[in-house]
Amino acid sequence: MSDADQPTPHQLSSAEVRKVATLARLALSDEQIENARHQLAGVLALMDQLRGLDLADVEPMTHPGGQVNRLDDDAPSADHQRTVLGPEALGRIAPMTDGPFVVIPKVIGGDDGGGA
Amino acid sequence: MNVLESREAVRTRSASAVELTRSALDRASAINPKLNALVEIFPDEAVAQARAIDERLARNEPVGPLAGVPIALKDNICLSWGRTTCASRMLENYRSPYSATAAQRLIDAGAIIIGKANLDEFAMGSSTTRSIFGPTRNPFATDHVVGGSSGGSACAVASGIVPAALGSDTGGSIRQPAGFCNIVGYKPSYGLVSRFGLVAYASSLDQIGPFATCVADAALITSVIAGVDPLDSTSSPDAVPDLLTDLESPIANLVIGVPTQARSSANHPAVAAALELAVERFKRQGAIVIDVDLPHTSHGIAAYYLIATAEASSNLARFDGVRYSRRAKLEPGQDLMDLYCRSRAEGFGEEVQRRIMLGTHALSAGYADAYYLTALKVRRLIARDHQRAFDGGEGQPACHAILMPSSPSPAWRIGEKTADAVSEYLEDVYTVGVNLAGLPGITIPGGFTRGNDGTGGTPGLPVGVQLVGPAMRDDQLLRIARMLERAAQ
Repeated sequence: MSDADQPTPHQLSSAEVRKVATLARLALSDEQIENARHQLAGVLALMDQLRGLDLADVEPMTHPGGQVNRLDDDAPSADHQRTVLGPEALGRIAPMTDGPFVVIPKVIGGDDGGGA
Repeated sequence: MNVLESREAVRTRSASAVELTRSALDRASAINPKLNALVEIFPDEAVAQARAIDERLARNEPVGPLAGVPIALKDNICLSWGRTTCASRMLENYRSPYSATAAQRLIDAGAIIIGKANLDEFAMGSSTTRSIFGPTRNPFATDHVVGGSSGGSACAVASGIVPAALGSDTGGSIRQPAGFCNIVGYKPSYGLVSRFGLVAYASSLDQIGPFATCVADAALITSVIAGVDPLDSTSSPDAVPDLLTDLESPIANLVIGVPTQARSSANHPAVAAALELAVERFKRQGAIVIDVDLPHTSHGIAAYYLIATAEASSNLARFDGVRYSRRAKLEPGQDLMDLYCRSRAEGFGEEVQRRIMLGTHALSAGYADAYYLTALKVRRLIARDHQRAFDGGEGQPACHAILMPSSPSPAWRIGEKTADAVSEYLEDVYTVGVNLAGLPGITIPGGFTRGNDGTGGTPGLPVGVQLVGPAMRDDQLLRIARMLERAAQ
C-alpha cells in the first residue's frame, strides 16, 4: 500500500476497542473499554503525526543489529545446561499442576477443572 | 564509597566484604522505607555471598573484579533466588529458576546482590509510579518522581544504598532516571550486553546497563557484563571494546555535535543551561562543537511507541495463566479463553494493558502498514540521521559524539502526569532515538534547577546531559563522557 492509501486517522469505536481487547486476550468491562477508547484516541493522535512523511523509498528497519543467523554447535553448552528446566522446576512455577502435568480447563468435551 | 573504592577496600583488607554488605543493608533499612527504591532485600544471601569472598581472600585465592561490591538489580532481571516480579501483579509470586546472564556475570565477578529494585510495571513508564509496590521517591525531593522505568535502581545508587545497580533501557529507562537523580546512567550499544533473563518488553530495543556515581564505575560494571552469550542470539559476537584501558585518555581533535532540535524552546531553563554548560566545558578542552541536524527527532516518539508496543504485545502474550504467572479463578462454564483473558485482565495494570492494546492494534489487519510498517521506516530515517552526524560530509566534520539533554524537564511531582499518558511519553523525546538506532548513550550529571528561574520549579532538582556515540564505539563514548565529567569536577 502506498503512503497515500493509508487509512485516514480516526477515533476507534467501542466495538473496535473491544475487538482489539479480544485480540489482546484481555477481558475488559464496558467501563474499561470506554476508558481505553479515550486513552487510545490520545495516543493514536500522536501516532498520526507520521502520516505525510515521504517514506516511499525507505526500507523498514526491524532491528538495529545485522540480520545474520547465528549458528551454534549442535550440543548443549554449560550456559544452556544452567538454564534447562526439567519437569520439577517447571512444575514449581506453574500455577496449577497435577503430577508432572500443567492443568488447564478442558478444551474438548467439558468445562470443568483447571480454573480454580 | 564508589565501586572502585569498594573493591580496593576489600582487596587491601581495609574493609571486609561483609562490612560493606552490612553497611549497604543498614543504609537500606534506614532509608528504603521512605524512598521505596528496593522491593526485596536479601540480607542472608548477601552476607553469605560476602562471607565467601572474605574467606577466599583469607586463603589468598583469586577473586573477581567486583569482589565485595554491593549491587542492586532492577526487578525485571531474573535472579535464581528471591522473586522477579516486574512490579506486576502478574508475576508477584514468580521465582525465576535461573539468573540472567548479566546477573550471573556480576555474581561470578564477586559482586554482592543486595536486592531487587522497583520499576514501572514491565518497564513501561518514565516515573516508577506504576508499580504494585507503589512509587519510588526522588531522593532530592520525595514528592517528585525518580524517573523511570529503572527508577528504583537509580534511587538506590543516588541515595547511597549501593554504589551501582543494573537497569534496563528500552526508550530511556536508564538515562532519564539517572538525570533525575544526579548520577551516571549508561545504555550500552544494542547487543553489547546479553538480554537473556531480562524479562522482555521490546526485544529490538531493550538493553541492560549500569547506574553508578561516576563514569569509571559504569565502565567497570559494563566490562564485566558485556560480551557474546550463547543464550542470546542478538548479543554481538564481535570483540567487546576495551572500556577501561584508555578511559582517562582524552580524545584528540574531539568533535561534538549538538542537534538543533535539542535546543528546543520547550526545554526547562535548567535543562537548557546544563546543555550550554556542557558545550562550554567541551570547548575549554579544545573540542570543536558544531550544530548537527536530526530532522526526525520529533517523529521518534510516535515511531518508538508503535514499535515498542507492537513488540510488547507479542512478548507479553506468554503471560496467559497457564505455564507460570497469575491465574484467574474461573466460574463454572468458563473455558480456556476465559482463563487467558481474565488472567491477563487481572494481572496487568492499566498502562501495560494500554500498551498491549496499542501494539495489538498497530499490528492488526488493515492497520499494520499504516502504523507498524510506517514506524519501521521512520526508524530507518532516525538511524540515518545519527549516522550522518557520525560520518560527517558536505562540509561538516564527523562527530565523535552527539550531545543533548537526557530529558526536556526535571522530575515532576508524583501524580502530575498519571492521567495523561501522552504527556509522559513526550518526556522521552531525547532518549528514544538512541534505542531505535541501537546506539550507546550515557547520562552524566548536568546541574540543578534553581528556585528563582521564573518557572515555578522546585529548587534543587538535578538535570542530566546525554552523550550518544556510534554503535559499538562504547569505548570512545565513555572516554568522552569521562572528559566532560572531569571538566565538571
